[in-house]
Amino acid sequence: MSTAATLAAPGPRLGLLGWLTTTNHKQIGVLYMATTLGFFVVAGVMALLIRADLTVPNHPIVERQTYAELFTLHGTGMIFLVIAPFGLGLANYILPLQIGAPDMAYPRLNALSYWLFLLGGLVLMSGLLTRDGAAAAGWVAYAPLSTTGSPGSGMDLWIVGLLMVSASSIMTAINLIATTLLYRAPGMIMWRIPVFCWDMVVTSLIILMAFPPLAATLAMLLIDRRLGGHAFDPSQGGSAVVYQHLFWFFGHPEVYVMVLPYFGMITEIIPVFSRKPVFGYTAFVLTTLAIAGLSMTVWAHHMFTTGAVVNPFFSAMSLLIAVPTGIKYVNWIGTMWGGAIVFPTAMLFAVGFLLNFLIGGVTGVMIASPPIDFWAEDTYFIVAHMHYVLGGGSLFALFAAVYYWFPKITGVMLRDGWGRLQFWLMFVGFNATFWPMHMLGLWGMQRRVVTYPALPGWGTANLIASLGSAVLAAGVLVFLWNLWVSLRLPVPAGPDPWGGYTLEWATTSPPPEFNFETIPPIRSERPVFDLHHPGAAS
Amino acid sequence: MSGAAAECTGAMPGEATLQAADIQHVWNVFLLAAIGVAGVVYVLIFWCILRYRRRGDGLPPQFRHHTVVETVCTALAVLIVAGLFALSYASEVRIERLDRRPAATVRVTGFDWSWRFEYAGGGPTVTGTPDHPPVLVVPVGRPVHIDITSADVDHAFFVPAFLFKRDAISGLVSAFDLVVTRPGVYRGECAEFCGLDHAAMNFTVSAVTPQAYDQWLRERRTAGQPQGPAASGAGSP
Amino acid sequence: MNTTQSVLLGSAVFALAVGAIYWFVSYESAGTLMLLAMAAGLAMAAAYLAAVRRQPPVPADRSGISPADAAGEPVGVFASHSAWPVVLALGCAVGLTGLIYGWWLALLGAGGVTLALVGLVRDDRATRSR
Repeated sequence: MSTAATLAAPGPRLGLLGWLTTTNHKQIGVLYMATTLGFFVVAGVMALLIRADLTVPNHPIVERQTYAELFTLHGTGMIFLVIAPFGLGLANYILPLQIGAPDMAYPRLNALSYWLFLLGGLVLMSGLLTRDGAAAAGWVAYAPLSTTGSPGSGMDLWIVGLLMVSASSIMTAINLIATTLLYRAPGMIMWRIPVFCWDMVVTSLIILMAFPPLAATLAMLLIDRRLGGHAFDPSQGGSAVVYQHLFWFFGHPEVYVMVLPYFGMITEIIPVFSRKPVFGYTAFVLTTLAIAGLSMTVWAHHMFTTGAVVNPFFSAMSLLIAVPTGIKYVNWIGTMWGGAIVFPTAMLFAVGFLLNFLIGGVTGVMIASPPIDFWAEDTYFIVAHMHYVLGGGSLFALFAAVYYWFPKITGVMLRDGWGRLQFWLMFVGFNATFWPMHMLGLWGMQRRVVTYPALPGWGTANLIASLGSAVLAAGVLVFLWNLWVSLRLPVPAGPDPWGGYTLEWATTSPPPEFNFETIPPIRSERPVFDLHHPGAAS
Repeated sequence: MSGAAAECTGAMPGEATLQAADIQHVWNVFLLAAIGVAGVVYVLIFWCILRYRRRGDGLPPQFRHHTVVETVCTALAVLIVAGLFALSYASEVRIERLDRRPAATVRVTGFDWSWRFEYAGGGPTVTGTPDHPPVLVVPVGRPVHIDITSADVDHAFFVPAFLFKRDAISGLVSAFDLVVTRPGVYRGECAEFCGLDHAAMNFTVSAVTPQAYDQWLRERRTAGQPQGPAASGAGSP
Repeated sequence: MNTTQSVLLGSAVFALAVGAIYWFVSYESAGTLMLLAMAAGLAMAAAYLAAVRRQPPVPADRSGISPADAAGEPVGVFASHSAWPVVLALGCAVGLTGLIYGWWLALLGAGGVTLALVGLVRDDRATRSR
């Protein structure tokens, strides 16, 4: 039975003015995701330049100042303008659909969020056009380097751009929570909303707790820089250590903002392609809440080597947070166990996520130990860890989500053949790039260096990493090609190409303006599955 | 780059100081645990993707949870993590212990873009530049007390062979002990991004016999001048 | 107390507990203050929800009900198409860069922000009265 057969077709195509003034969650979601793709290409090219610079020992290819701008904007861009906003953008599109709502609770606020994000990102990057160059103090912008050590206006533009992006994120968080609170369809109690929606609600809670301290810290930086403040100036009674506390109180929860949405996406995809319900829905929700709570208590594990914080407290909390994260693997494996699994591209990326993120997870447990962190901190071991969770993890989940929901958003399928090529290029390229960095870090190569000496093994490991980055880039190019080909020679998707479980698959692809003509009964977290399989007891 | 790299002793990591041996041991245990847990999870994932392929249109059993499995896994995870914490905490206490009577006390100051080593008790001051990295001379087998701070932005004192680093932060003096167990020359670097010449902010630690160390001290004292290539004060703030 | 209230209140209690433990373990003020502020923020949200408790509860929170039961009833009012968000964002961008490059830019940005805020409030009033 198809409830979608009689639904209205999507509305007329928008012109430029239409896109500038839209308040519809689907169009804003598309704007978000397209914009993150643009920033991804920019920040990705910067990464390729970094890898090119590091290919051979003692052989930098860019100026020291340029190199510092590259790693600063690469990090800032990927974190604030790609990984985090893609999750928010996808939630913009999918969450109202999955809970049976016609739009987000505050559509104009939603539009404001997007424009603040786009303009904030552009302001931040515009430092590249200034005479003294863009911000170059790393994405963490430690004071006093970011105050007295960065006199140019590029740093101010970075601060101001990030203030706008922070405001944007806070507004979206408010919108997501309010929408889930107020506009769930009748019968959609909180314990039946899809796991992705739970993860987005919890992500929004984290944003509300973590971003205000960031905004305050950025404002204090600006005051120190431009208004005669001395909050972070030790020579005038300020404290550089307090800067780190303030920054990391935001900075650590931020990494969960960059991971929880992707856990949610994976937990939508794996059940559908295993033909099973998610294993341990309740445990999944509880562990997500546990991760959110604990994530606010671990921040100073980034400060173990300062000698200025109570290491055991943060070590204990950091080791503890590994437990709920590990339980999620029980959920995911339990979902696949005994299932009937197929491997379209989305599922390939989902399994790739499981394999890659695990490595990042166990190295995270290692550096939660202060003795190990005394060795590994600020070396390439940390770079390897973070890229395994955010690259091998979140980025792979991002592409899984793209392949899964692209048909719903555009009405056409992405080519599966090109998708598989993209997956293998990215999987091989990613691991070739970042695996050697574990060794490099343990051998002593520190982060944020424009070049390095020809010590044993360093040259070879860096060469492999740089070659790997080229393969990874090739995978991204294949994706861009796939996008182009699939839109140019479209293969229609229909309302439900995958046998999906959740409400977005009960309407047309793409959905009409207010999403649903009719909504099926909601008795579990899988209303569309229940519709197609009445009497399939669990 | 650092010419001293060519002279550095090829000590295996973990053999050069007392603390390094401790850290290496903690690392070995964590690595074993990581390989163990990851290995089991990988086997399970590959089992699923190989064994549970879709054949036909039927629905597999739609089970939603298994209380025993979930509880046992949670309990196991908590136990493993608790054990790792206990090991790590005990090790950290040992590593951070400060000897009451160190053989030497050195004030280390990081600055843009080199290091200054001031030996207490009227000892010499060694100041470096990026082109002439300073040498920290220490006696083997004796505790050397380090007080570290910064003259400007954040830096970090990192000796890869010692598996150890400590940040140099302005306004904060942080203390730790070094007990080098093997004589040799060890490469050091700055491990906190500090601006343009962050990658050039190297130094070496030269661990010599206590007799040679006393000799070195005597020579520097009789010479009466702050030693090091930057004796004229170039590079120091 | 519904699920959302429980989550907020539980998180507030957790933050308070961790803040207290952290203080006595570290006597470090920045982290303690931030944890306590986190507890206060969450408690405030929970208290607000309790204070404006809807009577009767949101239809969605009743598990036996079906979307078909509420068919034809208005769900809410949702704005469609507004130029003010992009104008407001532009005003913010220009105004904040004015902090760096000169008060005249800040003034220009403030003007755009004011214009957009007035426009948004008027639009909102118009939507509500419909």
